[in-house]
Amino acid sequence: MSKFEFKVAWRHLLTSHGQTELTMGAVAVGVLLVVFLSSLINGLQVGLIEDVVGSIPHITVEASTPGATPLWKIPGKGGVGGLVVTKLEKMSTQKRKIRQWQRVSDTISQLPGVEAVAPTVEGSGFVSRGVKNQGIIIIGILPSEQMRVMSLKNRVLEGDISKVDQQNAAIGVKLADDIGATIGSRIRLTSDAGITQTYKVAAIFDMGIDQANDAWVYTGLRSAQALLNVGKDVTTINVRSKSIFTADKVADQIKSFSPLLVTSWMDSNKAFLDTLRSQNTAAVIIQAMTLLASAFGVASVMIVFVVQKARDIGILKSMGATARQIQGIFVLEGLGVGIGGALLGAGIGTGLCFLVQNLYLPGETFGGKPATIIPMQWDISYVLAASAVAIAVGLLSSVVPARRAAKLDPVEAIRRG
Amino acid sequence: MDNILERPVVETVKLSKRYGDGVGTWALRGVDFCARPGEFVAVVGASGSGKSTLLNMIGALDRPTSGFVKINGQDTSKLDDNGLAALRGGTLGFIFQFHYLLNEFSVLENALMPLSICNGGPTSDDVEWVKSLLKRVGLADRMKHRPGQLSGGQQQRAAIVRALANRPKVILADEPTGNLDSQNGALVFDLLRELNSLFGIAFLLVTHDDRLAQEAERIVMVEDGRIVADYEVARVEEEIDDRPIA
Ligand SMILES: Nc1ncnc2c1ncn2[C@@H]1O[C@H](COP(=O)(O)OP(=O)(O)OP(=O)(O)O)[C@@H](O)[C@H]1O
Ligand SMILES: [Mg+2]
Repeated sequence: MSKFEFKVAWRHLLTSHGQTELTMGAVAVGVLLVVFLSSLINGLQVGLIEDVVGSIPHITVEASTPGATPLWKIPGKGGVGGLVVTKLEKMSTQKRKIRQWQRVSDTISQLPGVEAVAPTVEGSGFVSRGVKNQGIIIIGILPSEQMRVMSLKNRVLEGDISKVDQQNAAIGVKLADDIGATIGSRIRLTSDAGITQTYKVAAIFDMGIDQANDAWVYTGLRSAQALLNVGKDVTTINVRSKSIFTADKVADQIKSFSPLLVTSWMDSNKAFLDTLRSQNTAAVIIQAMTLLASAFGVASVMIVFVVQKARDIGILKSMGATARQIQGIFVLEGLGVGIGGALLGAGIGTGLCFLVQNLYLPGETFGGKPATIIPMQWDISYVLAASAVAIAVGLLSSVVPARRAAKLDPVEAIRRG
Repeated sequence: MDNILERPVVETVKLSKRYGDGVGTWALRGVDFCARPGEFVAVVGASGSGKSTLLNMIGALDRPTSGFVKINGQDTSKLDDNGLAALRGGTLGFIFQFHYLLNEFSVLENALMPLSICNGGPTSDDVEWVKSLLKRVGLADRMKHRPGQLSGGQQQRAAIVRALANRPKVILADEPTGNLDSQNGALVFDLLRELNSLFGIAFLLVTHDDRLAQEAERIVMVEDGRIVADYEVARVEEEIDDRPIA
């Protein structure tokens, strides 16, 4: 490809009386739609995933509890001998400790797909404040590590969850309501092991699920271990994978070397995940159609170009231009339209995304931040992917017209044109 | 006269061309023709007699049905498409009835086009040479103009410079004055004649204008796809009105 082809293609694109601009517009609309749709769907999905699974870690690793399993599989027998069942249920919620958890945790944290690891100890008990008592789940955490595993911070309505330790606890918003606790209130936790300890409420959270808001109480890991009387043991290792969508793969990796019970958020949210996937498929189809339409746009204008320029092609050939050079000119024109359209579409699409992203519902907040009307999540990868596809589309859809141009018989072309 | 001993720059052997399948139309029927370097040949004949076809075959714009063309001793039927393109770009120059300049380019860029196509871009020497040609044909102050901004005669002169840009051995001109009034036609013709004698380029020029044909060194007459007359023009100052053709 020499300067000649570039020059002819460039001049031709510049003097096409609006045809170049129109085709570029068609490509741009395609790219714009793809960028915008992807950002929108991603935004909606990330929001949805946050809502649905934000309060659980990507992956949890626990000691398996074989004794409890059969109980869950007996349907409709809950009413028979209520006491026994309650006791068995308690046994089942009383998780078993992980042997040598420190080693397990170290090994997991070295896996390539893992971003962070945090141990927790969990056990049941009850909270008392004044005359009120309520059953709870005590969760001992290392706050700074737990916060790397889950997005705790934006779940906090009041107070500071990083303060959670021997004396400070964090409780759910519903529990706080039920027992009338606010930041700074004193609460008493009693574990099933019969040990009691007093804490100050340092944070109140909203996990978005009732079960958590109702019953979860975070304390420091050490403190919870003492409360539950488990020495230095933990019951769960929480894992954050680098991408939320690779959680299942990371879980499989952990399973490959550990007999522990490994659960990814994907295992427990299969139906939800299927919904997301079919949504993605639908989005991809729409985007593919859009780009296909752009491709036809480019191809048809390129064909018109070739017809319009038939005589020029003949003249260029009479001056020694080879079929390859002629083909090059038209392929370059397609490429130019693709690049121009991609730049235009990516620019406008990105601008639109940020514009929409910053539309707030007046006066309303969500998770402490102003509530956006449409949750957009723009990503450079959408721009790059859409642009790459648009440029490829421009290139490919010009190949056939370019071939036709290259094959034109010069005598015919000069005569007809 | 010393040219006679030179190898012909254009030679056709039993050149035939049929358009269409089966019986079709025979546009050329076994034409044997030679042109020496620097020769100025006028090709005349009735409409539809095959003049353009002959030029297109010689110019490697089209392939003959049978027979062959030699340019500079090179049999063009042995060349592939790229070889033919190289021949058109390097050895041959075309001038058509219409200027066919590319409208997206300036006059100078148009004139430089053959050099841009073939040699990966004109050198500064090339540019100087083409500019001097443009000046010579009276387009010194029109180089930056677009073809559409020129008069018909100016456009044709620019097209002539373009045909000369690659320093061809042969220029094939199919009715180059056909679209001009007689005054401009005569001007362009004189220019061609002058360039011919200046640079020693062979000219094959199709014309319907007998008066102009008389100015050539040699006249070839085509009729029904055959050469029916081929003779040197007698150049006697006083007998300029004596027309050899009836
Ligand atoms: N592409 C073509 N397809 C079919 N027939 C053609 C084609 N080109 C030329 N012919 C025929 O070949 C014959 C010679 O045509 P050509 O164009 O060479 O004539 P010409 O001498 O140049 O005529 P004119 O003086 O009118 O330009 C004519 O009968 C014409 O109809
Ligand atoms: Mg003709």
